[in-house]
Amino acid sequence: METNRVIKVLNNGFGGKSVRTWAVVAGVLLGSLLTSCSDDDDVSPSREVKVVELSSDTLSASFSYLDATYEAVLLQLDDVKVGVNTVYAYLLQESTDGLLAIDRPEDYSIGVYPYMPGMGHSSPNNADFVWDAETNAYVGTLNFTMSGLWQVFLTIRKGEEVVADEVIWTFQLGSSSMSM
Amino acid sequence: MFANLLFSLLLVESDSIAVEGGAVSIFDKTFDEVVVNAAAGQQKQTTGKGVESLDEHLARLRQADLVKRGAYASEVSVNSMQTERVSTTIDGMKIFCACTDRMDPVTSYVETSNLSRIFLNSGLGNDPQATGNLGGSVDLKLRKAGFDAAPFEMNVQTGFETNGCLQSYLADVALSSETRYLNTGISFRDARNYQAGGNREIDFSQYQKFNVFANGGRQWGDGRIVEFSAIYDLATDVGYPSLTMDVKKAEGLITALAYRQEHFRSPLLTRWESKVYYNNIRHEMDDTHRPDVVMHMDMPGLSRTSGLYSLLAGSWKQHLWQLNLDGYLNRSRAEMTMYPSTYGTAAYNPADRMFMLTWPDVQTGNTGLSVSDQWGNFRLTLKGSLQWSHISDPEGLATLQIYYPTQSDRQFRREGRVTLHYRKDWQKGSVSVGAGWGSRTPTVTEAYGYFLYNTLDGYDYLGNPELKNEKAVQFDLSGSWSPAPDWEFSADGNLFLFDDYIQGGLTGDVSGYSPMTIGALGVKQYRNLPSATIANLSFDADWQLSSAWRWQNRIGWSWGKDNRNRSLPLIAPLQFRSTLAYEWGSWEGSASVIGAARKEDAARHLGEHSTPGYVLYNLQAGYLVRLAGKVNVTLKAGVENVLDKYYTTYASWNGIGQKGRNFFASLQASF
Repeated sequence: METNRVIKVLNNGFGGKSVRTWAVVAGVLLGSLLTSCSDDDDVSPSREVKVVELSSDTLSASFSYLDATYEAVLLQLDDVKVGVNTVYAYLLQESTDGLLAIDRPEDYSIGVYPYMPGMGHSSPNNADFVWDAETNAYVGTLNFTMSGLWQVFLTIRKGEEVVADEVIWTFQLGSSSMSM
Repeated sequence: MFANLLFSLLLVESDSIAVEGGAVSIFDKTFDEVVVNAAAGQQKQTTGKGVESLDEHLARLRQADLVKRGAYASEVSVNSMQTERVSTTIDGMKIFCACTDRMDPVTSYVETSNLSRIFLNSGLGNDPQATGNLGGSVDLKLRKAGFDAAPFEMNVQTGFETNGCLQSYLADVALSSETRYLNTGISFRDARNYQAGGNREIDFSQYQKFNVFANGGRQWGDGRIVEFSAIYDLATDVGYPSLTMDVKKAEGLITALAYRQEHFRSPLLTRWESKVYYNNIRHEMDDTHRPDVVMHMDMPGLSRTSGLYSLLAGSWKQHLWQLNLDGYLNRSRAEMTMYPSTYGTAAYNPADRMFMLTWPDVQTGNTGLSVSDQWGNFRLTLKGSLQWSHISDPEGLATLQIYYPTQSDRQFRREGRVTLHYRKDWQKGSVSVGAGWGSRTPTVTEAYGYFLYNTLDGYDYLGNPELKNEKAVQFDLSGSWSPAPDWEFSADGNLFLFDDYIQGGLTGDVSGYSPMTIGALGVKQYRNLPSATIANLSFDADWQLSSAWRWQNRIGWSWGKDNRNRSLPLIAPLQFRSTLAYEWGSWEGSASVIGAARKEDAARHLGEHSTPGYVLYNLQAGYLVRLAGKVNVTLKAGVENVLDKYYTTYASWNGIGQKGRNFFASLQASF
């Protein structure tokens, strides 16, 4: 029941856009967070813990920070295409129980630098991921100027402090346009 | 009228000037015209080379220059303006190139045997089908046997040139009667690398070209005529020494069906012609023969155009008027597939390919109405067009939106032009003065081109859908003076004042963007410069020294600056040409001197360099013999660039060396 309610909220946050696997994966996780956020701004550190299985519709890259291991998870991977992508991400902490939501996610941001190793170029007009309370995820813009293999170099910051960099998401973008 | 074999040199003779339909106007002398295949019955010796290429005919237009990227497919430059500002039509049909790198000006999809004449209208002239012709318009007239010509005619031609081992073979036949005609032909040319002066071989300058064509017509007693034309042209293994890639295949199919009527009950009407047409151009670049290719790429492009026009001409009192309604739909698409370094090895995985759309499948619809009227000493022309364009590949739109976030997939534009001319003829001369205003829409490359690499300045160029139309005000003045019947002097000057001149440059919008092409210096973006100016000036002097000797001289000069007084690209320096021609009985011959002054004020910010001056000498002779009373055989031979001078012209892309000494011979027979 709780999960269903969260999916609905997320759907509304996306203007009715299908959130598919993300909703199932992240929604379960975020349920508690969302409820606690809406109840009270002061998030309790001892929240209910949910174990999450990442599906094929996500892309994650791990990094270490203060003896813990985290995952930078891109949601709705299947929607990423050549062109402008407004995409959502989450930071999760690994634990013996599984992946946990981090505390005070709004304190973090994820810098992006897309790079095409086969061509040696980047892309312009990208936007770093920042916390979006409405959708309960980090939202950013990734621009891919052509199809092929792309690496997105992530810089995770807590405030001004660089928590981790050289964290890489790798995309293999196909094209629907090769026709001639 | 079936055209015969003889190619004639630039001729603007009064007997060849007549508006189809019979009405004659003094303004028809303002055409620049080259006869590619002279009409039957006008067979005469002319100072030509024999089996020339189309480019060589284009070079004879007084107001045209050629931008050369190799030995094949030169780009016509009129009044020091190129493809973007010059309209090229084939018998009034719109046709657009399919290569993003300017390897295929549309003149490369026809062969000399397809054509009878080439007309050039300088500036915003009186070409009813032309669009975007701020600099001028070129119309290639197809060679139709016509009704009531010789019942059967056959031509064969062959030519050989030592420089580049160029071989040319052309053959055609024509059938004609009072009610029907049909002519068809086939041709093939093959060239190896040419050598610039001093035996410097220019690698990747080879080409092969194959062409077939057919024209036919049927006429009914009441003057109604139906005609068709079809051309298939295939160029393969074409080298572009001044570019980084060659062409595997450039293929053009050009078709037309026309209805024509030249007899009317009403004396107000003289001619009505309607045509529907379709052409399909496919172009495939090729880098597989180049050494040191950093990354192998496939770059195919296509351009398909279908269209129609309907032209009605008539006269009323002093007025000769023309009304033309036209429309076309063009689809332009170009792709680039990039292969990883593992390509060709066992480690290659097709999933590692990279891909982008360089022309995002742009569909353009354009429809226009043109009106012209000539009365007394005046001529007025007007044209207005509406244009829609649609980016029909979502991926192309998505990538453009990275740079233009609010860009819609659709655009609507208006363009138009208006000109007014006055011409006065006297016994010993004439003067013509005119003014006009015109606008043009951006080309597909200028509006939507996606990281197109320019080998001249080493930048990737990004199209700009937010461009404003380019506008120009044109003034022209020309005059001629014949102090004696055998002497004629003429002068021609024009001035173009541009608003929102479109040119690629470094802009704040793209600063810091990384180029896509490996090794490119940066990104430039097409933008509107507030203003630019181009002026052209030329003088001609022509002496008929005796019945056999004629001496023609021409000198021309151009000037072009942008709003910051920087040079515009491809502006001609001082150039001259002097030809002494001899014609007596069956013999003809000519000696010519061609040269240019040093080009100093190159557009260095666009990658141009100064080019030194040069002088070239050419010699040629021909002999026409009639065998068995009905077979005309023409033999021609000569040598170009006699002193084997190494030279480049201001329009030699990347300063590529032009042809050195070249001996040529040709044989033409007509039955």
